[in-house]
Amino acid sequence: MILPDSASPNLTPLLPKKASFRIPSVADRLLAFVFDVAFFTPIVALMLSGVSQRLELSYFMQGNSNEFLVYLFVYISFAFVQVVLLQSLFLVLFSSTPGKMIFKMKLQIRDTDSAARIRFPQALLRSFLWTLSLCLFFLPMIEILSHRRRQTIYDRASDLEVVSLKQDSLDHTPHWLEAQFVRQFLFVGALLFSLFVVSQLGRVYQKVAAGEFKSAPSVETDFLCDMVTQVTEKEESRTEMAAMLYLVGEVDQDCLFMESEFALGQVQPRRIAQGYFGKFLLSLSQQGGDSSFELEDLVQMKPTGETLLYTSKICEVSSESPECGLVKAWPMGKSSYDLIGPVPQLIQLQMSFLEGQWDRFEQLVLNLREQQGVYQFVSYLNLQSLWARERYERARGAFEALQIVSTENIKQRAGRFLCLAERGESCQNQLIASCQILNQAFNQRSEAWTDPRALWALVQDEKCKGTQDYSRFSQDLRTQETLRNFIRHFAAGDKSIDSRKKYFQGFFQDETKNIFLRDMAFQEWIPMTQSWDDFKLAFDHLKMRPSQSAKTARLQSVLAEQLRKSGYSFADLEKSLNSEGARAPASAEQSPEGGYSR
Amino acid sequence: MIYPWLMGFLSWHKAPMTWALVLTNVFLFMMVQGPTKNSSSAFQSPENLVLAGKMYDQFLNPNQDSLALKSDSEWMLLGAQAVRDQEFQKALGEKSFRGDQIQIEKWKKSFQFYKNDFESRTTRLFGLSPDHGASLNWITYQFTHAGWFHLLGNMGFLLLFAGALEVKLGGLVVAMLYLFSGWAAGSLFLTLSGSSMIPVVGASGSLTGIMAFYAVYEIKRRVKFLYFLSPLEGYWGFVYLPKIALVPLLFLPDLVGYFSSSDHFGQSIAYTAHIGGAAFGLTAALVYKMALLLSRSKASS
Repeated sequence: MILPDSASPNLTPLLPKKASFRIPSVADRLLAFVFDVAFFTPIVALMLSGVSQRLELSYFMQGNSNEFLVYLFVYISFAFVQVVLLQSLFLVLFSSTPGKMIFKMKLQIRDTDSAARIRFPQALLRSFLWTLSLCLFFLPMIEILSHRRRQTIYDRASDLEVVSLKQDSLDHTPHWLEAQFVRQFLFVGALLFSLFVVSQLGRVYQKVAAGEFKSAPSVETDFLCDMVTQVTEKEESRTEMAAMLYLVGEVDQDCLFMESEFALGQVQPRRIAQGYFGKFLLSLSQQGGDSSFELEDLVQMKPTGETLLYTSKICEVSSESPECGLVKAWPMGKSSYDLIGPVPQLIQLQMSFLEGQWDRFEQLVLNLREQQGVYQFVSYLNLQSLWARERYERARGAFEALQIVSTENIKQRAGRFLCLAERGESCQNQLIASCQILNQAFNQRSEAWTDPRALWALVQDEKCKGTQDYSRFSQDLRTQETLRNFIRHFAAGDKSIDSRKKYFQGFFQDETKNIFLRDMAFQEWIPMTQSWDDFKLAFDHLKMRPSQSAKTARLQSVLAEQLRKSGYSFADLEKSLNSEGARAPASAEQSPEGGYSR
Repeated sequence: MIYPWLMGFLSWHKAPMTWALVLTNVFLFMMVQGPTKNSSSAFQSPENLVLAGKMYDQFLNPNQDSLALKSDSEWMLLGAQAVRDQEFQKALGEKSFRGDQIQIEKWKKSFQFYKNDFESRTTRLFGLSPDHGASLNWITYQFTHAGWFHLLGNMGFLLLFAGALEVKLGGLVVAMLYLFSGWAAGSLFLTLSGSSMIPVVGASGSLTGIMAFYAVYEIKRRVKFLYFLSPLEGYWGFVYLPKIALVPLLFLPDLVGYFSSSDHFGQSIAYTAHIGGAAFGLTAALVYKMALLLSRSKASS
């Protein structure tokens, strides 16, 4: 029995010191266990093969889906029940299991006549606990080593004992030291395991308290994408709407890709042209190498490579379609002004902003405000136009209005625009509302920001405050793409050599920052060099690095390549810096801002 | 750990055929093994598999008006089937597919590159598959292995079981069993693999035939096994187990593997070949026993 007999004065039942049966050896018990597992596993797996196939499939489809968890639960529970029933059957019919039969052992009711038949409840209880021990990593089995009659908890709990039928005269009782050692080991193991469980529970509690398991805020892009695929009744406008929402940054590339693929699967030429147009936009934005592209950049980008193939494909499929007219006019100029339709109008809006045609801009703003999903982007562009027209107070008012009604995406874009614009205007005011909001959003973010413009706005804000702590962006600049885009803004953001030097020293030479990040940034920065002074900075940085390192050699070769493109050699730079006190060679034609002509 | 302690192979004179088979396998493996160009991992990118899945869907359902709506994982599953299906590959040149023609053209080029690489692989040249079942391949596939671990695993067990069998029944029986079990394994594999072009290679079909024969022809005899649980005394040693104990260990895992694995992924282990080989070995052993009984009864009468 598991619990002591409370009617008895003795705490533990009185068992005979000497076993009245042949105690099986440890090896026999463990080998029998191995054979039992080898016997039961394939039988159960065979019976559950159908579930197993579904489990494998659902794991592949989506390993964290509810479907997979349900299949897993079904598989484990059925396997558990089948093992319990199979073993119980063997115990009731043969008083043994297949493994025990092979190794000449059997089970009998404890301290009774060996001929007494095992009752089904007893067999069921033992099988249940045996199977449970499998789930506990076989830990209860270790008791075979320590128990003086080589019985485990599941044997004792079911009032059964394993006896050997072998005719050997060896005494398989454990030595008292061995038994003591294993018992202590089990005790310490259980204690450590409990401590581990308690500590893990504590950690989970802490995480719960810190709100780590809060459900993520609903992703607006998913919502809008669903709106495109489900709400839009007219099929023809689906892809067009997806393209428009993609251009304003309200749906991601997966959404546009899905819509384009869907359209390309249709038979109507217009639908196919729309599908190819979606692919054209995706290819064009990839061409820029910046996943956080702006419409402003995209409309001015010249299609090359695969994007050009899409251009010809669109016109090949449907030469009369607006999509064909649009891609023919790309990169956008005034010719696009004659095109009709929501996507061309959106592009015209961007173009009229860039060209400062404010009357036309305002007309288009009025037209496009009615379009689903575009209103907030139009308001954001309107904010930019107000600033460009020096209507600062109205722009600030528009910014505040956007903070109330717009999506996180537009809020962040508006914040970064105004913060950068205000900081570019003056560094005197320490409390810029847009920068404060941007900082707040940055500090509360749940994942890394991949928008280099927003990070650049924060850098400018820090510069004005006199603190240039780039380490706070480390998490956001982990991927090469983010870093490259950031450095691009960094290299283009400030033309003053003093300022560039300051950034350079702050970002690349600060020993407290992650070396990998600094090297990667340095490598990305070299192609952005604008002046001979930039080369000097890079050279100084390389001199500080260990000269024998392979990484230094690689960085040197990147710098040498950039020098070669600019018409110099690494030796020129080295010679010039060593002999002429860091003066540029005569061949470097200095421009008034300190740049050189290429 | 428990292993059959069959030491027949230790004597070269008693098991020359076993050693000859093993050495042939090793020699051929070393002869044909070259540097592998791994273009399959580059081709089997998620994007390529999704596109293959979309094309395969149109191949399977030619009358469909528009592309079915499936998740990327579902397309990838279909795509993985597509690259194994020779019928689909034949249709690639003739059939036009709906979808992004620029990507489809790129896919076709990339697939051609993958296929050329696949066709030049040793496993394809010497292996057995429905579209590559020349008479010589029925023999060569039994001596071709996909890698060192494949070869060493098979040869280890071949030495143990074929060696033990050869000591009892002679080299001719072992050689015949090896070849015919391999033939049976290949037959079942080809029957159940549909139009898949993935070849089967390796001695495992022949080996399971030999193992099954060994386990069944003297089913009541006990075999010495070495067990090792720990180096302490009493935790390692030898046990004698009936050969019947080998039977569930031989057949059940392959049956389970065959029935539990989804067709969608393809199987890196040719379970059907193992089952075919084992079924042949089992039948051969039963026939052998019956023949033995008949001859004994004739002799006694």
